[in-house]
Amino acid sequence: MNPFVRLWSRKRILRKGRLTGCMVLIALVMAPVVAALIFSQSMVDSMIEKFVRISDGHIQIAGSSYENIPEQYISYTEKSISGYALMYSSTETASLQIKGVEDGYFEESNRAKQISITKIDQTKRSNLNGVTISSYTARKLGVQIGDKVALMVVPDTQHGVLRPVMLQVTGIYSTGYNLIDKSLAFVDYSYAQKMFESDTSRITEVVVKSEYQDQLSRIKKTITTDGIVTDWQQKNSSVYNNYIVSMQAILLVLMIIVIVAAFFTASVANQIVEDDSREIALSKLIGAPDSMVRKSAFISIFTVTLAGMAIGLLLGILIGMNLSPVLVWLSEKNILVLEYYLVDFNATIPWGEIALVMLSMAVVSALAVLISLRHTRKITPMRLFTGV
Amino acid sequence: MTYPIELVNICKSFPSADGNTPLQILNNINFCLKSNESTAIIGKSGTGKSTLLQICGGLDKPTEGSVLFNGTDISKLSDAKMSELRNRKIGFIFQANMLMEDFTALENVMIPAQIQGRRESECKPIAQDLLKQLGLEDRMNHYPAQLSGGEKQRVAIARALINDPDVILADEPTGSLDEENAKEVEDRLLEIVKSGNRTLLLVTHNMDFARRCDRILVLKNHTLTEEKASK
Repeated sequence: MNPFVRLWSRKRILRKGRLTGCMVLIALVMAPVVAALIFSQSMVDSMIEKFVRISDGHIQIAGSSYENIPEQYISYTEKSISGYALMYSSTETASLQIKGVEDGYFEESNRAKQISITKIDQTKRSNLNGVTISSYTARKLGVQIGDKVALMVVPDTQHGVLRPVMLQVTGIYSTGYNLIDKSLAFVDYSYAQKMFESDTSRITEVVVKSEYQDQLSRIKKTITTDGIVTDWQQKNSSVYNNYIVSMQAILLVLMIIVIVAAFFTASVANQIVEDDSREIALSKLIGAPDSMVRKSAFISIFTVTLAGMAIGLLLGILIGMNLSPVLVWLSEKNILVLEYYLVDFNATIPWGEIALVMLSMAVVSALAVLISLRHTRKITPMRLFTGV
Repeated sequence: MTYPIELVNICKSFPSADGNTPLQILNNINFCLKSNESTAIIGKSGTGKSTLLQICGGLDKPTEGSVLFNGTDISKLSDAKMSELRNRKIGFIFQANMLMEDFTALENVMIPAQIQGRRESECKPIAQDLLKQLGLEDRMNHYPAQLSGGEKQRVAIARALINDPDVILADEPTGSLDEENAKEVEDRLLEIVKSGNRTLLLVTHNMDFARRCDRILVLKNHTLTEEKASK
């Protein structure tokens, strides 16, 4: 780099004023952008993980038999029975999906991380079949562990008989995600078999290895069955579509923020050219070509932009990785909208998305600054004598 | 024969305030500057002396005529070539201090050399030497705001000399200085011309300074006449 360009860029950066303000503003824009990306990506990932581990698996095969599961893509399969029922307490009613699961279902390590369960003291166990309901449902029905509830099974065959059964609440769980907690209750697999007799109630949940989770459609197509094959995205289409729309909206908003920030940088570049017009004219007087003047201005503005982005990135990561305590605190204030979010989730940094946003910002800023710096051409040494 | 600077039929006019008749400043100016010669241009205020100097340095363009620098018509040079010419061949000194406020005296002097791409390690000793010659050895790391008018002017002289130019163009270099400082700057400038095979074109109101130059040109009624010819 030309020694004069280096020296002048350094002087400009070290001079307090507009460039410092520019750096602070870019950092302040970048930090929430990064935090929002961490929050949205982590939240979506954690919600999907809850759905997959607790509710549906990645792929559901509803039917008595199936073939051609591509083992190399599969983490594990799990049998379950699924149907719908109305649950009554003495005062309230809840419409629930009843899922029959085998012993040890909740002990699987990845699943155990997604759910917390309080089980009944065996001394309080009655002869009734047990049901594990969520803390949300328990609150809604006004019941506690050990209490009795009535279950009215919605028949899944034309010959089914509508009749109530009495169950004891033997466990209360919480996944931390309202959409699951509101709708799901667990019973023993063998008992569920008696309640739901149709073949389509027999579900094989397929959990796909993490590296193949973007190939669900392809994996699904290879499976042959006498029943129906669906994936979690189809089964929870409204939730999945909400995820997609939310992510697209977030990305769009972020891009708009980035573009606005880039144009702010360009306007700072304009101001700097005006502020430094005497120095620019003087340097041209002593023989600096316009390209050299522009280069030094570009380097100083772009260095400050990158520094602002780096500070913003660090701040954003710091905020994004520590959002859980804030959400917990907010949830204690009973803010309604938080029902649809996970209060406790594993924050992960979506480096790809962050890199995309930062790269976009860098490129848009660079272009906007380069365009702004064309004004230096109009500054001639004569400005020193005429003022224009 | 080529001259460091040769002006051929130079005319300069500015648009008048009413937009009708242009305001004529210079009319058919012809002169040439020889190497190792100092020339002073004198004349009343507003006669166009500074404009003429700016045209000589390629800072302003004449309405008509051409400026030849070592035989090359500078109006035909690209902006980049013109910058290079100003940087390598011409040293400018002005009445108002024209130093970069964020740069120290030493850095200000080094700038023209650094524009050429010369490293600090290469041009710093030259700049230090020039500042020492001009009596500023203890002011090298001071910023312009910390220097007196005379000191700033000597820094400007050092800056004009760092690239060893063929021509020095000076516009009222002692105009803002007291008598003692003015005399010192005059001595330095004339000594530099004599010792370095350079050409000095000076615009001044100071007749004593003008008389010490080899030639005196008077700008009057838009034209230039020679009052004192070179021996």
